[in-house]
Amino acid sequence: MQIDVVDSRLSFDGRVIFDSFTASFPTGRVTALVGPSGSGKSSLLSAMAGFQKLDSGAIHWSPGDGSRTPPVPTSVSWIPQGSNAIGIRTALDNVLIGPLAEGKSLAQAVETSVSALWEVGLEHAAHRRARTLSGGELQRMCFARALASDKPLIFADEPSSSLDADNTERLAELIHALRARATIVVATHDPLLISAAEYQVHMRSGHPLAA
Amino acid sequence: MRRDGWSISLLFREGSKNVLDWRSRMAPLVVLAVIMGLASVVFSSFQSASFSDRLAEQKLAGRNVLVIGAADQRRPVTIQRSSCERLEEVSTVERSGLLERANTVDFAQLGTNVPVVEASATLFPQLDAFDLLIGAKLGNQQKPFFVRIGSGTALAHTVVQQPTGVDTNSAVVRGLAPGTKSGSLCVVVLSDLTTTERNRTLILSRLSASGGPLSATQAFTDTSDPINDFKNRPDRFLPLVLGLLGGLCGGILNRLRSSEIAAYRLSGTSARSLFIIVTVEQGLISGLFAVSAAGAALSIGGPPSTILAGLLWAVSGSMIWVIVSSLSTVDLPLRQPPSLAKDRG
Repeated sequence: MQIDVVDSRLSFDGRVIFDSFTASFPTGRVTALVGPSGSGKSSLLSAMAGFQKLDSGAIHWSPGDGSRTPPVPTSVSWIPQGSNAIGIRTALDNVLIGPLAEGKSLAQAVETSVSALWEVGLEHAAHRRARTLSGGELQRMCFARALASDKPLIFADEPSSSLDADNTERLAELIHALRARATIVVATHDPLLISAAEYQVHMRSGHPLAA
Repeated sequence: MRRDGWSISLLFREGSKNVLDWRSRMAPLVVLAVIMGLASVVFSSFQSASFSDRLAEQKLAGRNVLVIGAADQRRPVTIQRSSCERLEEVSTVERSGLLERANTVDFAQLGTNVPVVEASATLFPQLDAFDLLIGAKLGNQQKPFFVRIGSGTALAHTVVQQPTGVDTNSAVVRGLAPGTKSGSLCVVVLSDLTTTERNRTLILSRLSASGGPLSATQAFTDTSDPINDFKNRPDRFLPLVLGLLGGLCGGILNRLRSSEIAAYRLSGTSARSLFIIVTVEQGLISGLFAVSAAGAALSIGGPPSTILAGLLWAVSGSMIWVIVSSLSTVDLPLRQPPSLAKDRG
């Protein structure tokens, strides 16, 4: 699924977040959305997911068959800053939410979720409560949830913001390994994550650049 | 509103798994629900017991007894026995009948010069089974016994203390002779949950009497109507108030877990499905409120009407809980998930 942002403008309370912004995010690639804090990375990501309306311009999703659709929030797996988890539930339960929201049966969802946890190296923690996981493990659990939901788009908003260097490196390896699984956009200003991406889109200039 | 793939049964599973764990964020609310459910019923039962005690006390004092006789002692009246006894047919009348002072009699077991009164069997239904009824102040024998009168004996039974107005506690009661067609005094005992004021006119209108004018007097008049006091007491709304408080607590708790709520939304769960999960959670907790209240009502016991009233109030409180918690949470699923995630609740 390719994402095209065309001549877009977004403002909050009279403050322009971005204007005349144009960029493309290629299908099945990892793209880093780069810019300093406050440059509007999260807002653009939110608009690309369909959570946020633009003042002007357009965002299209192109599945590759020539058609174009506006953003559909339920088709996006979103990995937030820090990590959002249901602390009392197990890691497996937290991952299950993705495939269950997709309409999978419980048995299918468990199978997919176990596989996703294995993929992110958390198979040993499947039955641990989320509140007992470390920050890095929680972030990987969120990636597992995104993978298990099998959505065509994975958006990560500053996923390394609360991680130390070791965990950020592991996350970068994970993101690199997940390329081609979905169209992945990572809003970040972390050099490690930027280097893990195949493309970069700068908030100042737009347009994808090969990393 | 956009749909997702959640099935209803899995949404219920999700909601129940979020609640039914003693380590969950909902656990304090679950405990609160159980305590409030118990408290509401215990308090209501205490109120009901106080009300029953007050009624019983006033009943003995004669609150619900009407003594109908001549309004003017110089102009005696004659009340038809049948009209007095038929007052029993009035739904608010517990018992009624003629009551006539007869004479005094010496009893070997009870003493000398014991007053004897004659009464309708409709006023003292035990007269159908016993020859004599012994006033509560004359004896305390629990079982029927034989009383010697002159050369004969009569089967007697001690009756419980009678309210003021049915003045037989220091007397022996025997049935009116079948041939007695009239008397000067008709005594009416009304049921507990009514008042003499509401019945006086109807009862007087149903009596057939001749002679002077009739008057209906009562031995005891309260300054306020205990039934109205009980019906209109403000604390009868306690279960609803507790349901309201519980619902508000549920709403606040949901706001404190906005990060968890965001986890659902950011994983493809629609606002509709999330609202169902949250409502299931609050429904389960408020259900515990109702169940604990119902359990308390059943274990405390009492008249069926009191138990039923307790159950109905508990269910009402539980419904208020769900409605208030849902309404106070309804904006959360509709908020932008990325901003919800940043709440860090």
